[in-house]
Amino acid sequence: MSKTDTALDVLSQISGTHKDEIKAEMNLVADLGIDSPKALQLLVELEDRLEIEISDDAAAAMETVSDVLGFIASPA
Amino acid sequence: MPRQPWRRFQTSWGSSPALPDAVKILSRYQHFQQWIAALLIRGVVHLIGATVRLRVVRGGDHLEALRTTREPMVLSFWHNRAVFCAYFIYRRLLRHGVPITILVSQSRDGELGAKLARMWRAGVVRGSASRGGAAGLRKMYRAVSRQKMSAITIPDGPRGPLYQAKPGAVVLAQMCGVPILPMAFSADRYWTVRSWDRLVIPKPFARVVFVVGDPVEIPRELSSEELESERKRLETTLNDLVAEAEAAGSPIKP
Repeated sequence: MSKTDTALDVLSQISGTHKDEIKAEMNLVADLGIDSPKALQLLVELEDRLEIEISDDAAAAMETVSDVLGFIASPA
Repeated sequence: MPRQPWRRFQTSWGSSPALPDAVKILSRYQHFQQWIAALLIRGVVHLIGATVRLRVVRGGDHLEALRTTREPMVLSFWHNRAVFCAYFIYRRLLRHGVPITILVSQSRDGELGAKLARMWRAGVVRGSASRGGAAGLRKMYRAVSRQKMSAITIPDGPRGPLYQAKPGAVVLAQMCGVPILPMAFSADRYWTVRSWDRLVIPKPFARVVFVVGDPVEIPRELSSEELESERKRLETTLNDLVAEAEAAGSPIKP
């Protein structure tokens, strides 16, 4: 499974939205309903499943699905 | 609701005096010095602990329940009671195999605390309130939710203001869906260390009174106003426990 697929899996699992319905321009809070507890879960799941580290600055920059996928594709 | 949910995490641990941008790496000798210091502190506290007349006037059943069920909780107490509360937690929980972790500052001072915590068989998560707080919160979340460890948080640490709770304990309890177990103690004879919080260490043979409060349940869904309300509730609860311990024992002047 590619990193993008894994990230979409995680987003789907956390938000309860079907993977096929997740669009790049969706806002994590407004469109996917990822509130504070879910946001923490999202970060932890992404870090664990993709074996990456997400800095606080990188996390702060993630507003949309495309931000998340962009980070996953090229983590700093 | 903020459009960037993790923004709350970055400020939820509260403000603290700025830490250095780069954490100085301790030399091997400095590590050795701190290890010796931790060993000495542990030794002194254990000697004191063996002589004090310790009485738990309320809440002992909550500790017993935690020891039996191992259901994670967030254990919380004020910074100036930290050393002896940590020893009390070691006596009542850690040495009975209850898994507990503590968030320790990434600073050099934090390294001493980390060594002491490990000597008392606690897990240690390194993080800070003013830097990397969100990453520290993630590590604590993993420890509580995945590894089913209880967590120790010191709401007015690492640098105060004294007896004013930062939101971190509430946020952690909210995220993990576990209650907060607050506690406090008083002693009729004690030393106070020349630190920002006037750290309290009971003297040998002192009468020490512990009060463990009822578990504080935190709702999973909280608006910013509700989070602030829960933070104040924890602060009031901890201060009430201090007053209760002092009423049952002796007042402590910080």
